[in-house]
Amino acid sequence: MKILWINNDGGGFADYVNVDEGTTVKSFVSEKLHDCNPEDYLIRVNRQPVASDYALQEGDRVTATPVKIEGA
Amino acid sequence: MSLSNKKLAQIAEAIRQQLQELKVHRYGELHEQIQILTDNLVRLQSNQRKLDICRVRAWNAAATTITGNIEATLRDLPCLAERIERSVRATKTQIPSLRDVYEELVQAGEEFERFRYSAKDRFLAVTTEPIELEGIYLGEFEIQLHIPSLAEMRYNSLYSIVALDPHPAGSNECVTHPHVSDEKLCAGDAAAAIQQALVNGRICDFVHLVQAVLTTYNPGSPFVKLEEWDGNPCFDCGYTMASDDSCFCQACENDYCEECISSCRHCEDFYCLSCLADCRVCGDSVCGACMKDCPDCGELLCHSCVEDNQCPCVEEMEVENESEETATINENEQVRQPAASGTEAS
Repeated sequence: MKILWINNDGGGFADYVNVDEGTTVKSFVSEKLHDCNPEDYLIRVNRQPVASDYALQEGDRVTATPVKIEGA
Repeated sequence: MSLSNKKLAQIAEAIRQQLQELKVHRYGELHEQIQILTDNLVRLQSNQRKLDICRVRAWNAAATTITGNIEATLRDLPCLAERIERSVRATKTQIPSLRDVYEELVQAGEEFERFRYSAKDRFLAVTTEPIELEGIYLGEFEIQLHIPSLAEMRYNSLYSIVALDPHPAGSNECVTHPHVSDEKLCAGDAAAAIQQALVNGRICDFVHLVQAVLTTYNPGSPFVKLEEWDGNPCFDCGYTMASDDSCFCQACENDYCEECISSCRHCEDFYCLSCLADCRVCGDSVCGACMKDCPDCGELLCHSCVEDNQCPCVEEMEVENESEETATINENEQVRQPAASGTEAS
């Protein structure tokens, strides 16, 4: 199934990605943010905070925004 | 959140209109980039015609010059093509639907307690929680997004960070946060993501990103380092020093660093170098209070030298007096001698 993934870490681009049925938001984000701690991110699904075991649905909008970013 | 649904819808529409204008603006930029490339290609074609003439007439020297021109034009082409590619990509950004922008505003209102819109200045604003970095309290900040500036994405006017309870750096009151100067955030690693969020109308993401920068200290490149935050600038050299390390000049009442402060050799109080003067006689650096006028010539010396009659004028006067005495004695002798000669003659 297709969902919209917005990664605000780095370029901040949005992409449609395919995920398997039953994929939880936690496993999806962990895979996308490999080597990063999901706790360092503000995760929203369809603009709402969700439980880590929330199973993604077709057309969901997942956003990950770092909570700490270095300015200059 | 105090904004009504109707107001939010109006603001969302205003944002959409600006993003539509931005798209038109970007088509304009693409047009300019293509024009530049076209001008270069026309130049290349012109050089090709000239080269052909030189080839036919065997004007080898001229051909060499024209070849150089062709080479110079070719060098710019890859860069120009890349710029056009970037401009094309920029035009492909989809304008979010009114519903999407509206829902972004609703989300921002839910996630941030103080979310307002200024109709007069046309900005959306969100207030952060009080920010404290490494024990330094900086206060609350209002993130103001200027909606009319979205059309051109001009960095300097797009959004402002206003300190509501300013605790600026001691050395520069325009720096209210290590990464904010003159109400402008130096976004650093968040710059690209912030721009993408705004171009896509993701207002809530924009606010979260700005907040992420405000709540993070990057010791590598702040406007003012936190360890120097409470410092004062030296009045003389401008060096930022901690409040505990600053020295106060009692005469001019300014703060100085250890390098620019000195002390009076007599009273030992602290004075800056400008408020001390060297005694002409002994060379001691003394303050104004420890200086005294010589009662004879009025020269300003340290009081010790005045009291000990060390002023050069005293010696000069003694020399003068001695000279006068000597002159008087000589005069008297001269007067007596002729009188003695006159008596002997008679």
